[in-house]
Amino acid sequence: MAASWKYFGVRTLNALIVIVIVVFILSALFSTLAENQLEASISETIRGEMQNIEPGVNQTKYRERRQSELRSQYNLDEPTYIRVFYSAVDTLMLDFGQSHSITDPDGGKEVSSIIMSRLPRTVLLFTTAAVLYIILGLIVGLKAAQVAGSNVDKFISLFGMAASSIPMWWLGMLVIQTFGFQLGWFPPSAFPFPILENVGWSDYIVGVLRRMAMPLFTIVFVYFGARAWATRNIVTGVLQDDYIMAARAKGVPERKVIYGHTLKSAAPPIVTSAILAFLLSIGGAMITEMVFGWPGMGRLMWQAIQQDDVPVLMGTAFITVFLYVVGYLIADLIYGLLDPRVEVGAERSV
Amino acid sequence: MVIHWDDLWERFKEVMHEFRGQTIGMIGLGIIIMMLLLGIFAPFIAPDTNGEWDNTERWQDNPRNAAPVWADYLQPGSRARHKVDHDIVQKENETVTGTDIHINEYEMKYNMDYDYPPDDIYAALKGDMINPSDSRRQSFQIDVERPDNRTYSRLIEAKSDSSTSESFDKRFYLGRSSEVRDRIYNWGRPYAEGKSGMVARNLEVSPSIVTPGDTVNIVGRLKNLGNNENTTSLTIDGEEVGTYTVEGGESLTLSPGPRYPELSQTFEEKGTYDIKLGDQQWTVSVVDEDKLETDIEVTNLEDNYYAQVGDEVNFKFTANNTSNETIEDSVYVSGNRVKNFTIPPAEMVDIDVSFKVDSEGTVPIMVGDQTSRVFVSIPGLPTRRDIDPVQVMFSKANEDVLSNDPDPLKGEYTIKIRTIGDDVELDKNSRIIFSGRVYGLMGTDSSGHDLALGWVWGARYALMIGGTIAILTVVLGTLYGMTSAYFGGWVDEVMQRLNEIILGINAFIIVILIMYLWKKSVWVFIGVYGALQWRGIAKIIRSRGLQIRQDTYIEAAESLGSSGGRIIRKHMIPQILPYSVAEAALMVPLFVMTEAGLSVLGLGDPNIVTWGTMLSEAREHALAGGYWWWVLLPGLGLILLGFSFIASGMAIEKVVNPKMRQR
Repeated sequence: MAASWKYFGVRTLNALIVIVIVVFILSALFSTLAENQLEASISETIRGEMQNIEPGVNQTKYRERRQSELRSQYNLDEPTYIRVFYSAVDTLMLDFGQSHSITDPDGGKEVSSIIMSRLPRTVLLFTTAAVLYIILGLIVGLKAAQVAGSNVDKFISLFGMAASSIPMWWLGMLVIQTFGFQLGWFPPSAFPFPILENVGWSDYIVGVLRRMAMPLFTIVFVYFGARAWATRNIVTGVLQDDYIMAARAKGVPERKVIYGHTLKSAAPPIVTSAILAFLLSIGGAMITEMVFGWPGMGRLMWQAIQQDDVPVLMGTAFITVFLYVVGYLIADLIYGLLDPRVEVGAERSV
Repeated sequence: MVIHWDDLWERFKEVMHEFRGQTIGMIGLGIIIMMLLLGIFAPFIAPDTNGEWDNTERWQDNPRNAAPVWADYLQPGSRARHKVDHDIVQKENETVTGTDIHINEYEMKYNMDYDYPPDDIYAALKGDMINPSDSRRQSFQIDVERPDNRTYSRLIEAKSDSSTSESFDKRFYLGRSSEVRDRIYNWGRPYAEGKSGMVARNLEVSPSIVTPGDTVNIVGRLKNLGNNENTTSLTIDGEEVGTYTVEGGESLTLSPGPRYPELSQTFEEKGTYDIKLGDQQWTVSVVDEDKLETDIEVTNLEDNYYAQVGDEVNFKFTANNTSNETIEDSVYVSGNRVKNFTIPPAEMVDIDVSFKVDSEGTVPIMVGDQTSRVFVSIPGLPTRRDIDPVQVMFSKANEDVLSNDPDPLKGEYTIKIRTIGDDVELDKNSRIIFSGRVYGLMGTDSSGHDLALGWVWGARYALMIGGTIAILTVVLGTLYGMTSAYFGGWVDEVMQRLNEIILGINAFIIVILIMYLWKKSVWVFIGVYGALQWRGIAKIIRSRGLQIRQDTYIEAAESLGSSGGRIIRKHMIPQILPYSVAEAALMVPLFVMTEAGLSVLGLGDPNIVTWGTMLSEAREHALAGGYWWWVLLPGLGLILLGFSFIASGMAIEKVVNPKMRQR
């Protein structure tokens, strides 16, 4: 038990270090590369203020005063490493500052409240999808492993292989083209999203479900094949272990071999990867959200890029990285609990 | 570092020998090799594509949004193929006697043999002037003769601006010109309205209110919709004053002159006169001198009103009484009073008029000294904006001619081009393009890009991007993992902790930020992914390395006094490299898809053409229009490439790791 506590501690510390390092990398990127952009936005702001300046105020003095005020507000008068440090600390304290143009539903410009207004929608879509494709993938994958080598298994493997090479957002585009525009069954874009206060509960639920249908189908379609395939590969791998062969040779019934012996040792990787998929789903998929116009985190990040809203970009980037690291941490800890022999770390795309 | 190539080669042969037995793996490898060849020879297969993608000149001869040619066989009916024809034949070159005006006539034959005619006709006329005059005046006319002898005359009438240049370069898009649209619509309307025989149009009598002894001029146009000669007469109050004969399919323009003296009429008696040409009618009022000199100023009256049969026409105008007396006057529609009004002296009044129209044609309105007219059409008729002019041009002249689905008129069409002014000579580059509804292997997009050419470059860049990152990944990952495994102890511990930190970095977010903040370049993407993605492989290689290290032959080599580096090179690399290659192959699809995704997000490299470039444009323009090929085909490239790498990677994995094999 002591060894596993040590493992937990090391792993958690590791994750914290990763978060700090990544935040410093992000801050360094922003502080050095976004400097010109900040300068430009400061002169833009000042130019805007000069338009409405009251007559009689000394223009040059006003400009200089505002310039130094704004420069110190963005820490531009400090040396680069200090700015990196400040912005990294701010980010770690979850203080992302004010957005430039993007607002939350109440018109507020606090980046953290903008993110909090978007995060639940991403969770709604991607977590629902994760639950569906994990269950479907498990059922289909076990079935395939049971009949390994048969045509059904070959078809599932082929489908899994093909589905893992489908870009989700591309399938989304086809789905939008077909079911959104040609057949007109669902709204081609989830935007504008229904607002509960304006439409009432029943219309809100119907509106959300209608907007969710196409992205949900797309995500589940792309991921469940890959999950079924992965499950199948893990289970068939275990099926070749010596003790399974021994069990079979002893005459243990096939069902018992699969659901008893095999699942026992196949469970840790399957459960861990399912949990990982579930946790990472909260981060969403930026391009998919953007293609469907789903107003969650991913689309927010895209909006920030489009509108040059650096604080929002920084905030969403941090949250995404944070969820990614924490997702891996929890998955690893659970894996460590289930199977103390091995440490794990699987790659996964965003 | 010296690598033992012969050991590697032996190992490669060994793996390849077993790889051959993997059907899906072999298919994958075959696809990769084919794409590789396509990619290597892209500059020859698809010249002038990369770097010319944003050059509109490069794609101007291509159709817009044309489906692939093979799509024609998937649906009923045949669609026009694309045709770029340079075969413009000079027919005539004459000088108008007594002037220095030259008329050159050219023509081109086009055999329209499709159920869905071309989308557009585009004439690019280039040439030089021979002995240009000072003014360098030039005008162009384009006519189209149909197989049924109904000609579109003066579809295009364009005068070139006088310039100092001695050459010209003119482009006429028949399908996109609003002038052509109007002419074709007016041509098709009588057929669509179900008329036949002789049709009168544009009858106009001016002035409409005169005093006794004044002369009025009558103009109009007759068109014979039938195939045989036909006659119509002009009547004034039922009395025939002229008869006109028109050949089948031809039209006749009527205007006063020595040929038609009856088109200038003088009225001596006061009263109203009905002038009729065919079914068109106009009323002339002959009034006292003082009535003509009206003191009403009418404003806010439109020149034209539009209505459909059965509609109530409502309009409003302002009448200003400029005299000192109360004036009574009326609004006349086709010579009938529809509204009387009284205006007190020196006052301004808004007057509403409303009347019903119950037959189609042109209805004249007269108020004070102003005239206006109402164009009355039959309800249900498509509007000008609804029609596809070039499709109408190639369709049978019947009631469906203006609809979405007119009957095609197959046969030989003649495009006639006339230049009037200075003598000219068309150069060889002049061409007429019949824009296809289907084009090439993969169709075109809304900018006219040939998607097949873009696809070839997409394959090239996909392999380049995926391949470069994969090689970086294999090299870095193998080196890192093996070093860690070989040394073990605290070196291994430190390297593993560091690797875990790198594993925690979300490469996608980092690359987005760097490309957004710094440079949208494919090399930035390759650099960032190459620098980060070896981490997973390093981990796998390390654990394989630890296994191999325990193998007895390494121990034997060590005890025989081999150096660490030599053991790694001679024994570990050949054993481990296939694993790295398999793992890297499995990651290639992710790299390629990510690059495409970045393009869709607007972070693609603007200087190259990738599948992502095409898909990013498709996301904006293809979805609502239903241009499925534009979305489907670049995406299939991604899937094909992804599938082939995953299939090959899995196959290598199975060969080198027998546990993966099916029982």
